[in-house]
Amino acid sequence: MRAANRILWIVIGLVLALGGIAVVMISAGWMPGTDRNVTLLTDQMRDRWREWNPWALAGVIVAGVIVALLGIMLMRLELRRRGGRGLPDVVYVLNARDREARQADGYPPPGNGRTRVGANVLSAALKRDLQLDPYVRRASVRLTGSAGKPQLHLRLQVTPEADLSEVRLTVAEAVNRFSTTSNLAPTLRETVVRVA
Amino acid sequence: MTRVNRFAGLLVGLLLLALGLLVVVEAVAISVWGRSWPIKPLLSWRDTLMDTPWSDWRVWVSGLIAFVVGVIILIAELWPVRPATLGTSGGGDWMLARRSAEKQAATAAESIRGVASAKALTRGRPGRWRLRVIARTEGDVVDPRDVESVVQDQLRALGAPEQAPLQVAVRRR
Repeated sequence: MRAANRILWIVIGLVLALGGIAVVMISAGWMPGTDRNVTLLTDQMRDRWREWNPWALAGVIVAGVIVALLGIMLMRLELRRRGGRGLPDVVYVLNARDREARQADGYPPPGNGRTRVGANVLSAALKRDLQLDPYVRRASVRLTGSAGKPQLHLRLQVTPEADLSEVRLTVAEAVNRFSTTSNLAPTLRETVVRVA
Repeated sequence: MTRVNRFAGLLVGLLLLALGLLVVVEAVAISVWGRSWPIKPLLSWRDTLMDTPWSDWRVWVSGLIAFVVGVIILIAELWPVRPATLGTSGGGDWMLARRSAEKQAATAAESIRGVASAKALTRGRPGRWRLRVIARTEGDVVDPRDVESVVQDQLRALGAPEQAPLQVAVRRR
């Protein structure tokens, strides 16, 4: 997104600079093949617009719709958070093997319900676990992807005394515990460490 | 720059949406009622454009403003920006905040006796960066190797890649 935004603004800058200099040159009479005394909208243009009606008007409406859609697309892209869409709520259903195992352990037969756990609850659990480490001052956890292929994005604020290799071990252990508890196997996509 | 770009992109998106809807509303209003709505009647826009020659000073000024704004945007976007995060020895998924690395390296350099203040600057790309530390003294003799050693230790603790080159300079304040 960063690179795409930069390209977008370079294109906007180029269009403005080249367009602007072209207008200045025509206006000053420095552009060969142009006449600075001609009006911005000529009679020929108006006549052509009338000739092409109603198709010209239809074309304008289509162009307006396209421009509005482009605007919506751009806003959606800009508002999208890093790492893509957040993980949807995870639904747990006991399969036949789990049921048998529970009954074998002496538990009463379970019902046929499902358990829905919010992704924010899972993120908060991992965040709390990470923050238990004395080197980790603050942790921010974001889960993206799907329940079958979850991805983890971490932001850690560590103390100045922290050794990153130890922090890395802490994270690995916390993610392992998270996997065992949540039954999810997230891939660590990105960990940004800040010392504060 | 990233945040500015994102915010500006959002504004452009909003502007495009408003412009697109306005064009549709105007076109539909003209085709259905035969007159422009809801802003200044389209006919007056058309008359202004038909009366204004390219040589008009307002056209010249508008072109100049567009050119200057365009050049400012180009310079801002093409100006080399230091990355916000740096790669570590832990691989591509572990990144270190650049400012933290610089601050920690400077603090480590300042721990050497005789160093009054220190400044650290990273250069290069996130995956291939180098650090330059400038230690300033009040006239005391400081061995740059001592500074280099503590900064190296600090970088190792921060998980900096082994190949990240370090350059140390000791100067008198």
